[in-house]
Amino acid sequence: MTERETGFANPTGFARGRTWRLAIKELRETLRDRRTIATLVLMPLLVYPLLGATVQMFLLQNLQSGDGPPICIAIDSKQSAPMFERVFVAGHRILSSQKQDEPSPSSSRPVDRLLRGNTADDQAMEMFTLDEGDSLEDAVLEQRAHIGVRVVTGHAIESERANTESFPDIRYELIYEQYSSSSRSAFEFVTERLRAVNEAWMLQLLGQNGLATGKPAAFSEKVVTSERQQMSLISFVPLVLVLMTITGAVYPAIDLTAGERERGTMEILIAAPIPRMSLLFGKFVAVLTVAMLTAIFNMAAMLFTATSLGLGKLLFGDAGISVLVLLQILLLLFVFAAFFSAVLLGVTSFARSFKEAQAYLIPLMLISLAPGLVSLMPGLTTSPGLAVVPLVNIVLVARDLLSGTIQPGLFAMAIIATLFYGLLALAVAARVFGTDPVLYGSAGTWKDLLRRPAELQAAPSMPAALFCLALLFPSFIVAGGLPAQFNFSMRGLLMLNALLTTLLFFVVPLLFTRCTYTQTSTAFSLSSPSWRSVLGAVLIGTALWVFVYEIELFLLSANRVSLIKELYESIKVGLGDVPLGWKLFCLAVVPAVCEEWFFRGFLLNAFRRNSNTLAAVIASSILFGLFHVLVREKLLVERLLPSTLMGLLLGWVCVRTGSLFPGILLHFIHNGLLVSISAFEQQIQAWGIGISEQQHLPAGLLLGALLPVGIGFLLLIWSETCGRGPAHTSAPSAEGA
Amino acid sequence: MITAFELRKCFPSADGDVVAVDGLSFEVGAGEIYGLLGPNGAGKTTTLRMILGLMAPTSGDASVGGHSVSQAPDEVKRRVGYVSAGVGVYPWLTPHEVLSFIADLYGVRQSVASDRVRELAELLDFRTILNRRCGTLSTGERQRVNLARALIHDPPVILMDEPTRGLDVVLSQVIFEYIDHVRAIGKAVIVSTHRLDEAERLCDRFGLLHEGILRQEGRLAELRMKTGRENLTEMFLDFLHPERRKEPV
Repeated sequence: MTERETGFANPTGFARGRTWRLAIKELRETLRDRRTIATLVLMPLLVYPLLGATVQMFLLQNLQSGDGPPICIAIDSKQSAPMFERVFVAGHRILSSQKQDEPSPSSSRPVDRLLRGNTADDQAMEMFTLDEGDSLEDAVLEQRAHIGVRVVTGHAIESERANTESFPDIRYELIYEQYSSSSRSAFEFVTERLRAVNEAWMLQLLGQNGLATGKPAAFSEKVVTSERQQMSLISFVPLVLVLMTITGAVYPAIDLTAGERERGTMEILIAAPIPRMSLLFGKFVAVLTVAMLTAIFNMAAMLFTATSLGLGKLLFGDAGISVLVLLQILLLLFVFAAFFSAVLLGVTSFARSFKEAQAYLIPLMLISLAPGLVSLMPGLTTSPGLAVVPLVNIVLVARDLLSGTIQPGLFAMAIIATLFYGLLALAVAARVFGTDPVLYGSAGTWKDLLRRPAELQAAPSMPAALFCLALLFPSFIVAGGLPAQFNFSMRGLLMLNALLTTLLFFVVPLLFTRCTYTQTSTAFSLSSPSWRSVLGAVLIGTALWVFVYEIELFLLSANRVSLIKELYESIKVGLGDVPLGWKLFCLAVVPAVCEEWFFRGFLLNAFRRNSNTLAAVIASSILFGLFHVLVREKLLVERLLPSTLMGLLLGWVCVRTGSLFPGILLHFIHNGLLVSISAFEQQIQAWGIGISEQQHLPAGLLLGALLPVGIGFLLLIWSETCGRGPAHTSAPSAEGA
Repeated sequence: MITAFELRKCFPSADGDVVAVDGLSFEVGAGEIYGLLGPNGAGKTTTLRMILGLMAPTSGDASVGGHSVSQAPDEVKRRVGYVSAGVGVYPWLTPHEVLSFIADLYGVRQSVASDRVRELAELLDFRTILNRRCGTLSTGERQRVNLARALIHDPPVILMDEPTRGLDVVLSQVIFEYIDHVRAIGKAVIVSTHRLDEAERLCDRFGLLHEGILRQEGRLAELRMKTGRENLTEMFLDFLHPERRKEPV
């Protein structure tokens, strides 16, 4: 039948848009459901005002109860104490006499009182003076006193109060902790009394037609911040947002998988001529969209509530929250929502009914809550290790964003790790979604996920590759910090580093191929190369460093140069004592073998099995670049482009030659030359090439390097046309796999 | 049009593999209504799912329009309209939206799909509910939408799994008229049912399935000759109780 007869659209054109049309249909269906609207709109509208009002009431109750612990006032010295006590008692008496005349004792609005703190007038209090050497700020921060009073006299305030004649040059500096309600209450308590003295004095002067040139109880405030308390409050905001994002994703995830099965519409979808992955992706986009809408609604409701109830400072600090920080938090939430939506779809795809899906998700939610609560622990700082722990990383990094203490490297680690976890979860979901054991309940179990294929595989599967990647990335980050834990010599450190590289990038992928019944020779492209490809790789390897160096130089700013110098300076000194052979082994041989083994062997072949070669080379190169960007907790963005370009070249070499070995050789020569140049830096400088001074290389060298690189490329291209390309090797393809 | 060749399906269980379908082979031509008959658990639904590619056979193969389901499952799916036992609909979408969506899944151009929705709504008499949410429709109205869904991409083959299950006499009549219609327009149809009286009235040829094995196959007259029984119910009772079997005349 022709297209005209059947009415079928062009299948290729259809395929391009169908995933999005599917997603739109799923989204339309989900957003029309009243239950989604309840989670999306009503929950934030109800939860935050209620939560805000509860917090406010709780704080007010604390402030208004007169039977709290006595207010502790610390005074800086014994000499100052009588002065302050006199003024303070005078103020207290004035207030007491005013109270007898006025029926309403307090004129403060509740919100002002909440923010400033307040106390009952019959509040008990204690005054004490500090020992010598002790500091008022420490006393307040360590909660030994609610408020500190420093009597500032003499020249310290001379310039401000030069004309004061009526009173000695005295000012009371009041020190309190801004996030502690009891400290703010104490501040309010003391300032009220000092103000009363000042006002009474002004009234008295006015009555006498005198000129006020000073105040008997002049005071100023000094705010100190306890990092610990601030952190716990700021952690609360991202944790709530993360939990609400989860809540938003749960219902659509169940409805679009287990719900469809229960309604009997899943079979209709699976019976259509479209890949299961497209169906799943459509559902994933819908769940992710609803989760993000929930996050945005919650964030807006939280901001509005905090602002209208005057809790903004308490939650977001004095600086408030900027648009940039909001956008960064939304990015974190987006990555997290993508990860969690994929996890939810994976879990709910197993369920045969709505009820069963709910039963699966309750433990998952409880498990998710635990790391979230861990992130509320006071004094917990974001480390590279924590930056790769799912959920904890998002809460901690968002907290650091809010408090303005974020480190870009940790931010990137959290994003990349969560993206990898999300991809893995999506691959797992794709493996279960719509399969006949799941669809018809024919004895499908969780064990099916770990089932070893019956036939020998030519290349790793996508789930295996993503699983390996999701395991390697956090391990790589954690392992990066390991050498610093040992007091090894530089030689020992290099060896440890080489061992870790071998373990992560060689042993782990090898174990994955064994567990997934994949042929090692094809999974890692271990065919023998032609002499032309070997020669080509050698030629490119010897001259490539010149261009990589120039690209890095082009990308580096002065600030970044100093950062990199700072990072490598200590290493460089130590490296001088290590023999060149040792350095070449640890910094050239091991990385060349292991990185090629993983990126061009395992990953590239897994990607080639599931997509076209170009996309596979690009994806593996970007991942290669990303692994080179993170050095400890520092983010060396300028390494992304050169490393990715290097990845592209090595990927191309592997595809052209059908073998991993030319790439290993190229990589080794490139790294080896850089190590050698570093070892002979002084001799090279004597030739007038100032590498450490970030100077451009001589034009002659650049032109000279073009020749071997050009010949190398020609040889590699020639090696393919001479019949040594992928078609004649055992390089895996979608058909072969 | 439809060919099943040595289809076999085993499900793993704690007590070893359970054979649901065992070596099933038959053919259905264009314009023919084939009744796949058997009691509950005979393997009818599993057979239909294997033909459509919803379930992978343990061994054997099936083809539709010359396309093997194991080699080209999407080509098979493109040529089949499937009416399942349930009347599952998307509660928050309208019949118009559901049918347009399904047409899109099968790659039918939007302009063609709009015309087909109108024609099918006319044919199955649900024009008035085209823009109502499916969640508010009655069982009969949902069934009409489902029948239309199976024809929206104008497939040469229709598979119907227990189409009259849970329907009253009036609604069952809609199904009968639908089957007459698809026969008239030359579709190859397999109807799986355990309602033998209905099958006798509707189908051209029959495959009697019992415990996953095709016990008898042929037109009603041929089956009468082979079994010596007058109707399908008696023939099945013979399978269930071999002692009452009588020699064919």
